[in-house]
Amino acid sequence: MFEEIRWILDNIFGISGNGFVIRENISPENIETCNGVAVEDDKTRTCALCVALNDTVFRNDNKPIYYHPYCKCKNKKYDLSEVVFDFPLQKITKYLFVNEDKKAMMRTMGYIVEDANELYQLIQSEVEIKFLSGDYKLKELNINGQHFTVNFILNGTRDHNGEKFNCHVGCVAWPFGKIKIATPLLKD
Amino acid sequence: MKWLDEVKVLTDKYEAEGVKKGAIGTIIFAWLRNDEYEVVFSNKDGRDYAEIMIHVSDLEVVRSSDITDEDILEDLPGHNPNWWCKVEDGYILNLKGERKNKIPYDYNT
Repeated sequence: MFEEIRWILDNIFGISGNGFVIRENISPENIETCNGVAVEDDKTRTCALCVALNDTVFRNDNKPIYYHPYCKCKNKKYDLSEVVFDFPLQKITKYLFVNEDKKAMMRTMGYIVEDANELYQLIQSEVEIKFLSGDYKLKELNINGQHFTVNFILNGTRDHNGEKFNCHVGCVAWPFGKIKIATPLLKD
Repeated sequence: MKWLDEVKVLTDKYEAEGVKKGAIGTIIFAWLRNDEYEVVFSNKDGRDYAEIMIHVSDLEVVRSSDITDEDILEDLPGHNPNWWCKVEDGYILNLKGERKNKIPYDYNT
């Protein structure tokens, strides 16, 4: 009981400000060393979800609050000025503009495959800006990591020029500010 | 069968997860885990309704992507070519061409 209260005080309210924090525990394992599927670390007795969160970086005012009795995780201030992406271009060129349903969705906003590179850069840029400003929504935490979404407004093009579309990108937090793009683009 | 192929589900055992027999989805990650691919399913409007792990024996390719081995390597964890990632003629393969199963279509061998 007292351990839990101390954890909450130290890690949720203990760091003030809107800077970034890194969540660390004593396990050497994280979602990246586990190749995307976290497992319990028996050597350090760290649960799978704490392994999934180990070394992840979030804004202090918008961070995962998962904890459990005797949780060994600590949040520390972290200097994050840019993010790194795990986002293969093929998810745009060979999925978003190839799958018939996705292609039709993109067409409703005026986009065609020739826009793939521009869209790829735009998605990364929007996700980076929004993440660094703390403008993201935390979603499920599971053994595949802490999921979050970034919402942004995509300007229509061609026959949809001048229109604006609410879209979102599905992401997973990997260690040290790395962002894995899981769902490249969805129109809301 | 490989990353970004469109695949059809051959069984009704994923209905509890919202995926019916005959549903067509896309293999969304290059890697196999426990002989399963992660497959995403979309509605006609492009919105996703399910993203689940499906065993390779429960899938059939309906449209093959033109993804290369180089592309696959880029998406594999740690860019490791030993990772199981393709299914050809009943064999689960890695990018070195090594086979995981001994008997074709019997993925437990």
